[in-house]
Amino acid sequence: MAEGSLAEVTLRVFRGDQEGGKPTDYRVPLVPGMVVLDALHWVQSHQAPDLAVRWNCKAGKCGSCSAEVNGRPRLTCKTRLDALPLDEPITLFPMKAFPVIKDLVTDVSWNFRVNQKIPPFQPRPGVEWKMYQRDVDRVQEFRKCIECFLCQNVCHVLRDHNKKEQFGGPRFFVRTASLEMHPLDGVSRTHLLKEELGLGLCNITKCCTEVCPEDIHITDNAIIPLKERVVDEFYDPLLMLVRKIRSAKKV
Amino acid sequence: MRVEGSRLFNPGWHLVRDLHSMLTVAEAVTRSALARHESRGAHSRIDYPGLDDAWGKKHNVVTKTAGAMALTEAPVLEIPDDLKQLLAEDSGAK
Repeated sequence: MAEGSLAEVTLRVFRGDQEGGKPTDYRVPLVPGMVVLDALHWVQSHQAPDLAVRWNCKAGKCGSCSAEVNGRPRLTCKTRLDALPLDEPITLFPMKAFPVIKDLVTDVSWNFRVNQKIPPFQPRPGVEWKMYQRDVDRVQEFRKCIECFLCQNVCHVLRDHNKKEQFGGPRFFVRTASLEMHPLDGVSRTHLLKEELGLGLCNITKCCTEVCPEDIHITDNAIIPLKERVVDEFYDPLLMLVRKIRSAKKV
Repeated sequence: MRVEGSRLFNPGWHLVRDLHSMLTVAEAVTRSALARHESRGAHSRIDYPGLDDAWGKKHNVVTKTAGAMALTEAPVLEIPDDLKQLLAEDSGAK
């Protein structure tokens, strides 16, 4: 790649594992159109063959190459070098919210355990298998998620407070919203949202929406409508009164 | 060949493990491509730019014979009758 290329860039890449580590500098020749992942591959093939990077598609669709580029959570395959200041080193660190396996590779298996708590799609008994386009469109946005976990990484409930036992994180509010808003689904997940996924811990700072590479409006379209559902079911005083009267009649 | 670093998530280590097989496959592909005197799909040659019907009826087969690569030709199998019928119906429908 780039024989005789004059321009070079310095990558400051975290090298280490769960025992600890430190950043190491690599000089990489600059090629027009290059993205951060290309530069990492150049380092792998020329300077550090043991540099660990998780990647698959190089096209922003697999959600594997998440890292923190100059302190910002990004997909390295979608971050062009010409969009970054090249007169200073580009820092590359693994996602902070997850335990490091090696270099830029983190253990994201906690996410898969949270996912298992969510009851899958189940159609209402005898429902007519017919949907309006606007209902389809509403859910389709959530299905764009590529599970890069950048939203999980940036969410302060997970990143700064490490509430992994009490909180599900933006990714799983998006998944729950896609099921709750499905016009044919018959399962209620409001109790799960309130008690297991800790929806109330989210205070709508919209950091997740800001970093989403698929531009899903996580806060506005998923989290806030889910918060409304939880409030309707558990905190609405008028509904509480109605339910009390109804349950009293039965006795 | 030599590998740096530990066995933990080491792409260089994987490459070393794969390299021998990759070279074998590369050689088999190159031998077959040199033998095929035509251009067909992704196989494109400047010295043989056109399709050759004769090559449409045979495959190149590379086998390991006495530790070396041997290149032989094998005929392309006829499409089974039931598939032929399906294809005919499909093109008829359009």
